[in-house]
Amino acid sequence: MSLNKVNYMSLVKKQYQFKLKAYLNVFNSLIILQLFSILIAFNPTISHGMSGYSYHGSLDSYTADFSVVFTLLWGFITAFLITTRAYREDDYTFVTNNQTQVWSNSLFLLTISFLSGLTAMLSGSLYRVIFYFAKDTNEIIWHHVTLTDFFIGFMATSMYILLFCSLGYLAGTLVQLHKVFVFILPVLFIGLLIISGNAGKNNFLVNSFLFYFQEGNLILFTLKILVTSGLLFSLSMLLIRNKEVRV
Amino acid sequence: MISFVVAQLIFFLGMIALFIVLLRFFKSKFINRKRNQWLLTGYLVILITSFTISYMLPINDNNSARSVRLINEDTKIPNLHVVPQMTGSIEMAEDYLVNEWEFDFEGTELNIEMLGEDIISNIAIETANLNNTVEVGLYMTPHIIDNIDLTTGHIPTANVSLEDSKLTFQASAPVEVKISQVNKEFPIRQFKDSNYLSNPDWGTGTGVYEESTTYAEDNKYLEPVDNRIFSTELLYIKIPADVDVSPNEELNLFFVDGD
Repeated sequence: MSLNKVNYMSLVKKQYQFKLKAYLNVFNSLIILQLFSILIAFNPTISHGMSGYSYHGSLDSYTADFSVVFTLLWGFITAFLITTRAYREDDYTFVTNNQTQVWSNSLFLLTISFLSGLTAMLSGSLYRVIFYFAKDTNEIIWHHVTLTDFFIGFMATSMYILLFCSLGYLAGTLVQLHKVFVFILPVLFIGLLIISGNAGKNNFLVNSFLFYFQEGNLILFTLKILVTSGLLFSLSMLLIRNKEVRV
Repeated sequence: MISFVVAQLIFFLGMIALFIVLLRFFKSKFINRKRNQWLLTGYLVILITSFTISYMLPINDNNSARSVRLINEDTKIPNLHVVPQMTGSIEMAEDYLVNEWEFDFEGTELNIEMLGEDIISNIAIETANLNNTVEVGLYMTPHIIDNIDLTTGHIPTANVSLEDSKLTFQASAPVEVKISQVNKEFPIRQFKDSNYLSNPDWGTGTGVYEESTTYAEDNKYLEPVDNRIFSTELLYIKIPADVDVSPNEELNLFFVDGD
C-alpha cells in the first residue's frame, strides 16, 4: 500500500500541464482552418445592389467572420475528440479518476478557448492587411477595429469557443457512455433544425441562439457563458463519474 | 429536391467530417512536439506582426478616397414621390436639390419631353409668381444601404433645355458605382453595433405570419426596408401664372396648385 498522500488539486494540475504540452498538435489544424477561412473570406459575405435614375450601385460587405466560425467548430471537435479513447489513455500515466480527468480537460479547454480566441481575432487583422494590398475596388469603407474593440472581440470569441467546447465535451461524453448517441445526437440536431425552419421565429433553437447572440452587455454575456459551460462540464462529470475506471 | 436547410446541413456536416480527418491526421506523429511549438510560435508572430501593421495602414474609420458619407440612422429622408402632394411645396426637400435651371419664357403653353433610357416620371408643377421665367429643379434622395450613402459623389445629373415651348429633359449616362466595406467581426458587432440582430429575418416558416408587410405609402419620409432606402427623384417645375402645361399621358404630372 502506498503511503503517499495524494493531493486532488495537484493531480489536476499535473494532468493539465501534461495536456498543455502533449495536445499542442490540436493547434496545427486550427492554423490551417484559420488560414483557409481568410482565403474564403475574400468572397463578399453580403452583396447588395441598387438601381435608380441613371444609377447602378453595389455594396459588397467583407468580414473575417469565417475565421471565428471555423474556430468555434474547431473547439467543438477538439473537445469531442479529447473524450475519445486515444486521448483518455494518456491520462492513465497519472494517478487519476474520472473526476480529475474532467477537471483537467475543462481547464485545458478553457486555456485553448482563450488562445484560439486570440488567434481568431488576430487573424482578422491579417485578413485586413492582405485585403488592403490585394483588393482593387473603387472605394473601400473600413470599419476600423480599435484596441477596445479588439479586447471585446477577444473576450466574446473566447467565451463562444468555451461554450462550443463544453457542448462538444458533453457530446463526446455521451458517446463514450453509449455508442448509440453517435446516431441520436446528429438526428436530434437535424430534427431541431427542421422544426426551427418550419416554426419560423418562435422556437427553442432560435430563442437559445438569441439568448447568447443578442446579449449586448459583455459582463452579462460572460456570466451566461460561464454558467452554461459550468453546467455542461458538471453534467459531463456527473455522467462519467460512475463509469468503470481503468485499473 | 434538396431544401435550403438540408443543403446547409450537408455543408456543415461535410465541414465537420473534414475537420475530424484533419485532427486525426495531426494527432498522428507526423509533426513532433518541437515542430508543433515552432509552428504555433511562428503563426503567432505572423499574426502579431499583421496586427501591428493593420494599425499603420493609411486608412481612417468611415473614410475612403471619395469620402463616402455615412448617414445617421435618425436622419429622416423625404419621400419625393409624395412630398409635393402631402405638403403642397418642395421646402422640406431643399437639401436634396441636385441641379436647377432657369429659362426665359414668353409663351402660354409648355410641353414637357423626356429623352434617354432613364426618365423621371415624377414631375410636380407649381404656378409661381414668376415673370416670363420657368424654373426647373432636379431633386434626388440618396441610395442608402446599412447607413451608407452609395451616391456620395455620384449623383447623376441631367441636361435641361427650353426651345419653342418644349422643355426637354435629357437623362445623363448611367453611373456605375461599386463600393466595398470591410466590417468588424460579429463578436465585436454584437457589443458595439446598437442594431445588431435587432430585427433578424427568420422567415415565416409554415406557421401563421402575424406581422404586416404593407409599405407605408402615405408616409412623407422614407422607411428603410431590410436596412435599405431606395432613392426617389422629382422634377419640380415653376411656371408663371399665365402658362399652361400640355398633358402627357406618359408622364406623372402633379399640379401643386390643384389644376
